[in-house]
Amino acid sequence: MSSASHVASQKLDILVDTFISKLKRRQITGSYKIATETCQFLMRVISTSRWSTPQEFIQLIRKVGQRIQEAQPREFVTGNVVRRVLAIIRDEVNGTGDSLNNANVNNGAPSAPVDTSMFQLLSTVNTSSSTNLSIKENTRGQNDLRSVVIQGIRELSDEISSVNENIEAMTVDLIHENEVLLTPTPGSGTVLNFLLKASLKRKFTVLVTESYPNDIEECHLFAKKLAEANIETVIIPDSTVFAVMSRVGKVLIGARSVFANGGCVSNAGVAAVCECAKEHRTPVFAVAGLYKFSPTYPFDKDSLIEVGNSGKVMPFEDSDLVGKCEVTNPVFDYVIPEHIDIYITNMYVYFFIFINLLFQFILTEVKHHTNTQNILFS
Amino acid sequence: MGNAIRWLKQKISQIPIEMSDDDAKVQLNEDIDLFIQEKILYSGKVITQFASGHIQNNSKILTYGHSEVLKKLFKYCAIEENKSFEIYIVDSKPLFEGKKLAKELSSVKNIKCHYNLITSLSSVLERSSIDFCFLGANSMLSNGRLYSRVGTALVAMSSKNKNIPVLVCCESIKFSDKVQLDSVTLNELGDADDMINTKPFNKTGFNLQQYLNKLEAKKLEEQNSTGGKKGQQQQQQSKKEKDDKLLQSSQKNEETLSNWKDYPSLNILNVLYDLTPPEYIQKIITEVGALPPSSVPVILREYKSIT
Repeated sequence: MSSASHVASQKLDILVDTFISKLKRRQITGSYKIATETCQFLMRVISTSRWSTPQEFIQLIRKVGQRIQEAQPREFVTGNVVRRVLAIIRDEVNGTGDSLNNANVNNGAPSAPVDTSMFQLLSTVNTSSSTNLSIKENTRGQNDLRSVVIQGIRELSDEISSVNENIEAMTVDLIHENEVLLTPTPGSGTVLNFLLKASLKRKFTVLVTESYPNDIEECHLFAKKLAEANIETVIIPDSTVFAVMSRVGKVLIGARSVFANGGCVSNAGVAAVCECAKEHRTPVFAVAGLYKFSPTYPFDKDSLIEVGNSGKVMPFEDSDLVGKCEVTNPVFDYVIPEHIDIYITNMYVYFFIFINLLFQFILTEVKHHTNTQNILFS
Repeated sequence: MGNAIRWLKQKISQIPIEMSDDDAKVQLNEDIDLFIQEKILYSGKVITQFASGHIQNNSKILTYGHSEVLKKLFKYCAIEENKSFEIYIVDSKPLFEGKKLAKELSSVKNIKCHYNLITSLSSVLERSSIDFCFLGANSMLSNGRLYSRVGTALVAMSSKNKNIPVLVCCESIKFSDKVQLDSVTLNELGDADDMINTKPFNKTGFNLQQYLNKLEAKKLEEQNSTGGKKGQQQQQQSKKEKDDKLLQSSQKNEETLSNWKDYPSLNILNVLYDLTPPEYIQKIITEVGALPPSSVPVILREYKSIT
């Protein structure tokens, strides 16, 4: 028994270490890919792990989560996915008590989870004071818990992949005919899908900033794709933003991660564009899948901004300058919450003040169904 | 330039009719030389004197693009007045004028240069506590707006929002009685093809580019026509493959948009100038003194009454 668990823990270690090195070596990049890979990874971890009580299970997942967050500290998506999974597990453990049946979170009693979640907000009862199970129920319970949690993760993974479709559904309400939009984040797939879907119903013009030097190739591909869909596209250099802002109706940005205060991290240059939009009273929309919303608070803004290859800013061909000038190439930008008017996610549309509500909603894990939207706003 | 031509016309109309053509030409030449000295060269020096008071030892200055007056100012402060300070140069595609300034200033002993692109502007302003922002002007309009290189408005706005004073150094010859309300109504378009490049480049003139294209075409022809011994052939083949790959990779980079004209919905906008509203500018330093942007028409009136 002990040797089997030993082998299992070795397998687990190998699994975790492989994933962590993938993250550290940046073999997986981009929030979407990282989110889906993290889901797969957690499913595998849960299938190979061994534990005796649900609390141990939760601790195990927490430890793994901490390790993978440390592997890539600026990718908040890993932490978000782990938190959602932990919420699934906790929901299972608390919601079913000592019988460990399938949770009736699906459709049966939508009011029950809300009551428990509100109750948990007000009370300070720890989850550690849960029931102690006998060993026989344990192994059977383990497998049940495992399969339910894996099912939950699969649904989470589906939610992540369907982010684009759900966001697209909101396009028609937000863009009107013959509008001029500006987007400073051409690297965002969500923004691209948003615009392509909107073009089916509305006619508009899109100004795309180049985001030189980091995203310029993506910008050109983005512009090409839009032009192929017969959307009027204009490529402008980053410096022209102020000059054209008076003619722009809306600014659309893709966020990389969104924080608890409503601020977000996006590509370099976006903060200046949003400031400019604020000066001209132009509304700014940010699109982001729900998996990018992190309950952490950006205390240290400097640590959020990753610095990239200075050779892109000043190539080594300018040899007479290279040794003598300080050159930096920040890849990200932090946008303060006051500059963003609204966040569009695959669940609903949020104003930054209500983001706290959103996090409580996620962390107490109410399943993502149409009824649940009513619960939030009733 | 409109001002200079207007002045010249006025001078020509002031020439007495009795004077012969040759004498008139000589006099005009003298007048033009005097004009250049007064309005352009000496103005630069006077502005430098006025503005150098703002640059203290160990101060941090932000500037955008390349301006002759500012370059003189910085060199004067570093060399003559022996002050040591840091300069943050912000630059943008497609002209990369800031590199010119960086090249000149990085060789000066007392100046520490930082070079950034305009996308990193908010990070730079956040991290370093900049003391002053100096901007150059293409012209000052009658309603107090600054008409300058595109991107200046963005720099001025970001500086104002971080409470960094924005100072503009501008000779009085650049003041204009035109009025313009936004950047889009009247502007100059640059070459759209400059935007296609995805890597930093030095702009090659049209003739040079044609010559380079001819050379490349010749090279390709030579490679295609080489037959010869097997060993040589293999060598050449492998070399050709390498060259082809290089060509392909460089072509691929341009290829994304090199046929942009084929797409009817795709446009490229490359304007050269933009308008900075007067509320972002603290002070305009000219050779007749320092003034707030609302006082530009006053200078114009004075200037007109003098000439």
